[in-house]
Amino acid sequence: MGQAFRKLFDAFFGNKEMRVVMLGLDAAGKTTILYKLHIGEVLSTVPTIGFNVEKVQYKNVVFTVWDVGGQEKLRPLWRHYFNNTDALIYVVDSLDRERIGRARAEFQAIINDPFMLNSVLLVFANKQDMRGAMTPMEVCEGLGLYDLTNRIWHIQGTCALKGDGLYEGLDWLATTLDEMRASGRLTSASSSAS
Amino acid sequence: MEKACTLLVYFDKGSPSMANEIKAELESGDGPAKADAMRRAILLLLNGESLPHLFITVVRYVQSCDDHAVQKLLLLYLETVDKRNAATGKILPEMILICQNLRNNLQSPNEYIRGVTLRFLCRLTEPELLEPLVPSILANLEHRHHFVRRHALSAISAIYSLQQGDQLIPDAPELVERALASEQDPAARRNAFLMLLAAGQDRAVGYLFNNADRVAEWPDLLQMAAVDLIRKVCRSKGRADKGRYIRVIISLLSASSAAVVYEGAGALVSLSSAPTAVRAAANTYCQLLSSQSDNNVKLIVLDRLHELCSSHREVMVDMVMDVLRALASPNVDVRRKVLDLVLDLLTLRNVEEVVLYLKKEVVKTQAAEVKGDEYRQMLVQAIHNCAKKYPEVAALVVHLLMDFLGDPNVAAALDVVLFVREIIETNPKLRVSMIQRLIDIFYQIRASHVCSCSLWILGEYSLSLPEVESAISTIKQCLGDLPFYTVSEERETTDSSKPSQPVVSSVTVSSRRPAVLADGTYATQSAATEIAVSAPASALGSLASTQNLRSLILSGDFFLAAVVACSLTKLVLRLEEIQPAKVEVNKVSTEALLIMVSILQLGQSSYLPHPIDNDSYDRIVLCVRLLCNTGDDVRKVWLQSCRQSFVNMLAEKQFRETEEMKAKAQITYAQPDDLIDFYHLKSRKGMSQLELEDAVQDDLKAATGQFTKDADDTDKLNRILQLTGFSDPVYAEAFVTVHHYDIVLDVTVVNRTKETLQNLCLELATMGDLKLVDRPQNYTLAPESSKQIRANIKVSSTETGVIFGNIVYETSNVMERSVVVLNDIHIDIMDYISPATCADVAFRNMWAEFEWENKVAVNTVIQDEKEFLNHIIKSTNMKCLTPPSALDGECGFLAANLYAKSVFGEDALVNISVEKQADGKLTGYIRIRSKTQGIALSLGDKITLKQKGGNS
Repeated sequence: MGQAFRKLFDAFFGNKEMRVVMLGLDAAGKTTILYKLHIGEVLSTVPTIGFNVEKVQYKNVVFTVWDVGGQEKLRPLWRHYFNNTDALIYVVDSLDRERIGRARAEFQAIINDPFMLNSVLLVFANKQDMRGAMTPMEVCEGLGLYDLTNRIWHIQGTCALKGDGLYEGLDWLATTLDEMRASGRLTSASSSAS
Repeated sequence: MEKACTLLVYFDKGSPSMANEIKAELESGDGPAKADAMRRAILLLLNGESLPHLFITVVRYVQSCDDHAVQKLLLLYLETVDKRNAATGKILPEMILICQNLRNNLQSPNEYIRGVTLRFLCRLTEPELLEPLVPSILANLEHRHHFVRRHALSAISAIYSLQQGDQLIPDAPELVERALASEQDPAARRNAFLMLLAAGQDRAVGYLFNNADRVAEWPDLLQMAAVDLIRKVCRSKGRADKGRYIRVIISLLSASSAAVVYEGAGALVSLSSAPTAVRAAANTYCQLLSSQSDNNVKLIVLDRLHELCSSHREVMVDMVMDVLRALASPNVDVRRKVLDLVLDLLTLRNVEEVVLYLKKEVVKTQAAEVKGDEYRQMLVQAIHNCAKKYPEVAALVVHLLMDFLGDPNVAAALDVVLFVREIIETNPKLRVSMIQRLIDIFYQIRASHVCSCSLWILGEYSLSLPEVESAISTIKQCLGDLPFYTVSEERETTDSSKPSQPVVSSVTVSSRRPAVLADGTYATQSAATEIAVSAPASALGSLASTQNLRSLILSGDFFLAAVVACSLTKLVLRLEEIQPAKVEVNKVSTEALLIMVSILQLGQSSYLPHPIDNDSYDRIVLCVRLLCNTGDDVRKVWLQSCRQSFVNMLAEKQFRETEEMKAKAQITYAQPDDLIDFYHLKSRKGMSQLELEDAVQDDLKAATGQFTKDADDTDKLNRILQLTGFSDPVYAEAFVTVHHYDIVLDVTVVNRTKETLQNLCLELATMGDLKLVDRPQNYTLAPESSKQIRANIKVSSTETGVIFGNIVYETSNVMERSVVVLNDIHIDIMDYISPATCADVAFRNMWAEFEWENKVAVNTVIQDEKEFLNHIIKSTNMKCLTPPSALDGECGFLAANLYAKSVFGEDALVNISVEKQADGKLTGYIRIRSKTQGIALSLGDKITLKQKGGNS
């Protein structure tokens, strides 16, 4: 009975936790997004070599967000962040039409990893304030989101410098998390053998 | 670069389940739980577990923790974890993940986080990790807090010293030089300066010279770094600027920090051999000696002065009075060291001043009755040595020293009486006053040995009529009334014997240490001697103060009684020659006879618990017979031959000392072919006196090749041991270096196969008192490549030891490990033992005191006693204390004492007694004595192996 009351109490008053990994090609704006969410400011960043990790509090959800560097030499290391992860935030540089195919290939590799099969997918089509940027729909087609089956996904146009669209994305994540946990579905996979 | 280790803690072996527990706690635990898990992970790593899958968990879940303790442990973990692939040697790909965290730390608002991260970077050697961090590191050079700047400088220095350092930060020297110019924090300045010293020496030199005027005001950390720079620069040959460096050092000698002053003096001596420089350094050391109160510091400074003495004695001679002032220290070790050093610095010019100073010190010890005993003895011995070397000063001190003949410290009194005996022979002018003084003070002497020697001196050196009469009168006075006992006294003692039985029996139970003769054998000694101690005291207490001879004789010392008889006999015989009135001679002779007869009566009565011994009895009877019927030949034996033997002994001793001094003097005396002093031929404008002298010294050294050090390289080849064969898969040879307390094995390992050898490990084990210090490490050897492995072995006592072991390795073809067995390495006891000398008295005292004795029977093919002795001396590396004259002649037997010291300060005593048999073979025993079992046994084994001789 103690456990039942605990769960009931948390449902109404406690914070929920969500583990999120934020990936994407280099220079997509991942670190800028992370710190805009974390401290509300735009830091001047240098290319991330390694990763940043911060806790972001939004409504009653605490997001632990891992921002892993997107340089080519760092991409083989993305897989270390897949286990015990509830959601993927994939950041796309909407200006970068030449590399949208590359972004698609990396995205497909991520979502097909055995540890990510249960994760929800949020795509940030970043840099929407720039002239000539692809619309979210174009990004959607470029990544092949319409072809996904059995996956819960959402695309959000964002402008990291101004913060546009960021909290809408988190809102979707929080809502989706609630729905999935209410229905008893798993959102992450873990293994002690990893 | 070897992996740095900041922890060395024992920890139980981990298990896979423990790794899983740690992982779970890291993923979901709170701060303290994470910290605990990190500690356990670090300890497991330090104990050899690899935990390969833990790294990702650590970097994912620990980096985001705000707890500073956890962050600190994270840095320790990153320092400890293996960052490279064991097979290929390349950095693990996932290691790059730590870069962003380190960069974030370098820009953290918290100064502590910045500082510890910069410090961590000093230990990071992977350029792949360091390269992205360089801009952040350089930015910290201008941080407002000096803690951060200091560590930024250290990090830059460490990075620049890496193999790729000049590519990572190509302009590091310029940046550091600029930082140094504007920096105010002492530690940061020191770090910057040290970096320039290592990476941009010319810039460091430039900075030093530009600020030469203000060196004396620098913080001491920076001054110490300046001394290091000067040492390093001047190690290279022929520096033109040496004079300027010397000037900087001279100004540093007046720094406020004692450490800087000490290091500066050392640097100055290594920099220059000019007398002015050596004098400045010696002055500095002497000031440290008087200003520092710590005894260890004093001892260290005295060691430096001792080194100066051996290399620049002529300069140190002028410092002798400054060194003497250190006698003010109450510590006995410091005082002993000071006296040893002073005795090395004596010359004809300064010996008088030294002796007067020592004399004042002796007078001071008379006030401090109890504490000063040991110190007084040291002073007496030092004065004795001064007077032996320079007899002219004996007159100054001998009368003062004679006051100590009655000293309760028997050792000091004995030293004095031996000194008097020697001086009275070598210094005839002092004889009259010394005899008078001895007569005046004789009644105060309490010790039997001192009385014996004093009586001998009186008997031998009282020459004039008043002297002889005074001597005889003094002896009679100290003996008191005769006879020594009456029948009534005997009866009283017999009556009271029953009540005193319990007291006597308790005294009898105690035992004395065995008495040891000069040749190491034991003296015959009566256990009953102790019984008599208490009995006469009660009966004669009132007379003990003035009648010292009577007290001693009535306590059973018949040896002393025999000495009294001999001295009286000599005095009477001499009196017969110089006294014209026969009546007086007969009177004195009769009195002497009465004394002797009384002694014999006392000895043969039952008054004392034991009778007179046969040797003393015979001696006294001989004296009686001699006085009754004197022949000319006998008279000559007693009055002249006896002294002649003493003269010969002194001459022999003097000859040996002269030989030693000649050997020393050959170093310092000018020879006809000595180099001409080019000092006056040099004319360098602007150079100071010191610089000029130093330039001359440099030229001389270059011309005579003193800068060359080829000898070391030649010696090195002799100590290389081959450990495996040339056809073995792994060839190994070791260079063995024996230091004081440890052995260093430099092992070169060569892979002689076409395959890569992995997990190659040098496993060593030891026998004896040797202990391995390091844990063996695994190496990878490419085909045909070689590796240098160093192993340290701790030695705790002098013993012969053995080192043995294996080389274990894996190849890609075979799943099992392969083994190559190494040859044994024998560490010989001779590596620790060096010849040493000590006085006969000290040898006997040590022989009696030491607990361990090893007895080796002589078993050799050598048939000549002296040849055998020389063979043993050569085999054991010991010093023969028995003088060569005592070994002269062919009498068929030989006894000699050998002595040596180990580097641990242990003494080794050896006595050799051999006799030639009728068939020409040698028999006898060799005894080894030492305080510890190790030396006795090891040395005994060594002698047993070596003594056979021949070609073995």
